Formats: sequence, structure tokens, C-alpha cells
Amino acid sequence: MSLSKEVYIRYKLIDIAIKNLHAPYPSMEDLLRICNERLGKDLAVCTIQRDIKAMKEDEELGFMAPIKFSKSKNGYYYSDPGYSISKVPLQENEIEALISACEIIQIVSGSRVGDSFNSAVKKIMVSLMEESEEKEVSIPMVHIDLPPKQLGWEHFDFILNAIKMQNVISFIHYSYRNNEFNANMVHPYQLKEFNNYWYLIGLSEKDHELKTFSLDQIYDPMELSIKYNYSKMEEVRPYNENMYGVYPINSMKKRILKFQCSAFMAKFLSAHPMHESQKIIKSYAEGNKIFSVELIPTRELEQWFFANRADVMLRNKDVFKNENISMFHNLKMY
Amino acid sequence: MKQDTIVYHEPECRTEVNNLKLLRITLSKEHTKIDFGYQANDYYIKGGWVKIGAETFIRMKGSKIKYRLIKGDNIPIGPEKHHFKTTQDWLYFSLYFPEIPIRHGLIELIENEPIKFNDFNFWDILLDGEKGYEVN
Repeated sequence: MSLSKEVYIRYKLIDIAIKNLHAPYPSMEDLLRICNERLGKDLAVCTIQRDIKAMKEDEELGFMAPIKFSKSKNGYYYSDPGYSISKVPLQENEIEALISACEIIQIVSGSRVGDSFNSAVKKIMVSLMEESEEKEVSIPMVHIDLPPKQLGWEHFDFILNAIKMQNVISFIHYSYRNNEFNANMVHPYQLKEFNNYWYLIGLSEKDHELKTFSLDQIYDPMELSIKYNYSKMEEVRPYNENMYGVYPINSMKKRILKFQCSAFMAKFLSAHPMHESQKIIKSYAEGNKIFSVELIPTRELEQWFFANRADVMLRNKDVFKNENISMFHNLKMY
Repeated sequence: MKQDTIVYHEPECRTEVNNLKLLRITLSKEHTKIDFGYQANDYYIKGGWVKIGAETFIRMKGSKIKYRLIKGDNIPIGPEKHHFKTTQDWLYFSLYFPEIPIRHGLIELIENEPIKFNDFNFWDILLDGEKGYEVN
């Protein structure tokens, strides 16, 4: 059990003890005994004193519990009798669902969402801990492989806030492709994830069109006091709905792309469609298939066809410049 | 102008250093911040090195008053050097100088005098009041 988890259980135990109508006004000795019995520990008085202080005063924790000490009763009580750190009664299945959700959120958000969100998650976990404490496992029930932190990650909250507040931002961008720096002024519209990389999509003041910027290539963003232009915000929608990737090639026009796949790739794509528009056009006896997708061509789509060129052949010859995409090594031609 | 902090993007200027780009100038009451991007090249086998001279200053064109370098951000002050590992490496860095009293006009950035080849020198940097943007 991690220390933080144990702390949260103590908060919960203290809360329950103070609210216990059958044994009101628990003394410090009572709280110490309850925590020690429940946790199988030998805690010191100062630990419980520190917990009570945190429950009362720790702003990040956010409980601001109205805990008072009654000299006449020699025990603790809430000055607001209706107060509890976990006021929402939950059904068992709801608790299970929330615990699972919290675990996933914690895994995914560990480095992605700001401290305030983590604090909120912690609070939820505190209120659920009583029910979940006995379900300790040595490994997490859910595991998501996350790549190491992307460079530029530190700008995520700043950019998210700029989007929220509709503030134009200035930043330096370094293009890996062109080995070139540029100063940019962008009306930020959306942070988008693709294949574990984060991108900013926004209206470029200089080019008057939507541009995509990978967070790792952004330096030193600052907010500007100029009028935010949301006139092209709707153009982000195709990025979300009609693209595989984030960098459109040439135009924003959707194309029907047909490609022939090996039996292996056909099985894979059937189980993991590339896009919701994916359809099987033809199936052959050997298992090979021809698929179609309706997408805006992107660099990432081009890379996908290139990376899978041993098993996939694109039939539209005019979409991408990379001729190797049409190389078809292992498949029988139809 | 009444604004406190103004940023200029890629101001027009003259320089003899091909692989160093003056990207942004931020004028505030606290300082003058100048952002640069340096792209290593194949002149040196592993991209060479960069530093900024401790004597670097900016001045308004025609003026003798020098506003001397306060600090460098992400670039060492000479004699220390930042050594690149490949010809494809790049470096974004910023130089800080005292506040200058203009928001429109020409300034110069000089790494050292007398001028030497390959020093980071920029002349006729145009601070165009029409192209300066207020920072929040």
C-alpha cells in the first residue's frame, strides 16, 4: 500500500469516526485506536493530529473539514453536522465503476492533466477508499503502455488554457522536416492526440489557414492581446472525423482510397478498422481483401501505407508522392 | 505606445551568420529579450559549437549607449561552449538585455567590437511599431 493511499484511508476513518452517531465525540485516543486497528499499524498521536490539520486546512486536499474539539466531551466533532468528506452514497457497482475509471484516469492523466485534476482524482479516491481498501492487488488491474514524456509537454496546460480563454499565442516552432525555426502567431483551436503524440491545431495568423504543430517542436509560448479569430474553428472538425493523422496533404478534400491487403493484414484490419468509413470491397479465396476508406490524405496515412507496403498496396496512384507505397512484394496481384 | 510588453516576430535585419535566425524580440519594462534559433550545419564534422560573448550588447542605431547582456537562456556565455553532436542539431536560445526606451526604430546587436567573422552580429533590426503585438 502506498503511503498516500494509507493517508487517504486514515482521513476516511477519521471522518467515519467523527460522524458515528453511536460513539460521538471520539477522542484522540479513539481515533488512534481505530486507525491502528484498521490499518494494523502503530501510529503516533502526531500522525493523527497532522491528518486532522490537513483535513481542516490543506487547500490542495480541499476538504476544509469543520473539525472542532469539544473540551467538555473530550472529543472531536463537525461544527456542520451534515458535513462528510464523502457525502455521496454510492452503490457497490457504482463504486467499482468509479474505482476502475479513476485508475484509468490516473494512469492516463498521470502526466497529462494538471495538478488540479490530480487533486480532484485524489479526492474521489479518498471517498472511495473505504470500500476499495481490501481489494489490494500487487499489479494494477488495467495497464496502458505510455511512451516517455513528449518534449514540449510542459506547454500542454498553457495551450489548453489559451484555447479555453480564446487567447492568441506567439511561439517559436522548429520544423524537423525543414531544419528551420519560425516565429508563429496562432489562434489555438484544439489539442489533438494521435499515436501518443500531442499536437496543436490552430489558425495561423501569417498563412490564414489551419496549421498543425507538434508540441515537441514548440518553444516559449506566450499569450498576446490581440483579437481571437474563431472563423475557421469549424475546419477542425474534419481533422477529428476524416483524417488518419494530423497533417493533411495538399487539400482538405476527402478521397476514396482503395487498397489491397494480404490475408494477414485483412484479418488485422477487420479487427482494428483504420477508420469508421472502412469497407470491404472484395474478398478473395486466399484471404486477401480489397478495402476502401474515405479519408483526407495525410502524411501519417502515407507513412502507414509505406510502413505496411509488404502487405498493403494502394490502388490510387495519384494520392501520395512516395512511389514505394505501390510496391507490392508479397502479394499476388489481381 | 502605451502597452507594457511588446513582441516583434522575425524583424527585418542584416547579418552575416547564415544559420542563426533572429526570431522574436520582446520589449518590456524589465528587459529586452531576443530569441534566436541556431541550426548546426556541416561546416564542422559534428556541427561545431556555439556560445555568446559576455561583451554582447544592443544599441539603438546611431547611439553610443550600449545595453549590455544580462544573461543567456539555453546558451553558455563564453568562454564556455555548447557543443553540438551532429550537423542536424539545433538550439533555441534567448538573450536578455536591459529595457530599451523605444518601441519603434532600428537597433543593433553586436557580440563584440571590433567586428569578427562568425560573431553573432545583427544590424538594422527593425522594430516596426505597426508589427509589434501586446503581450498579455
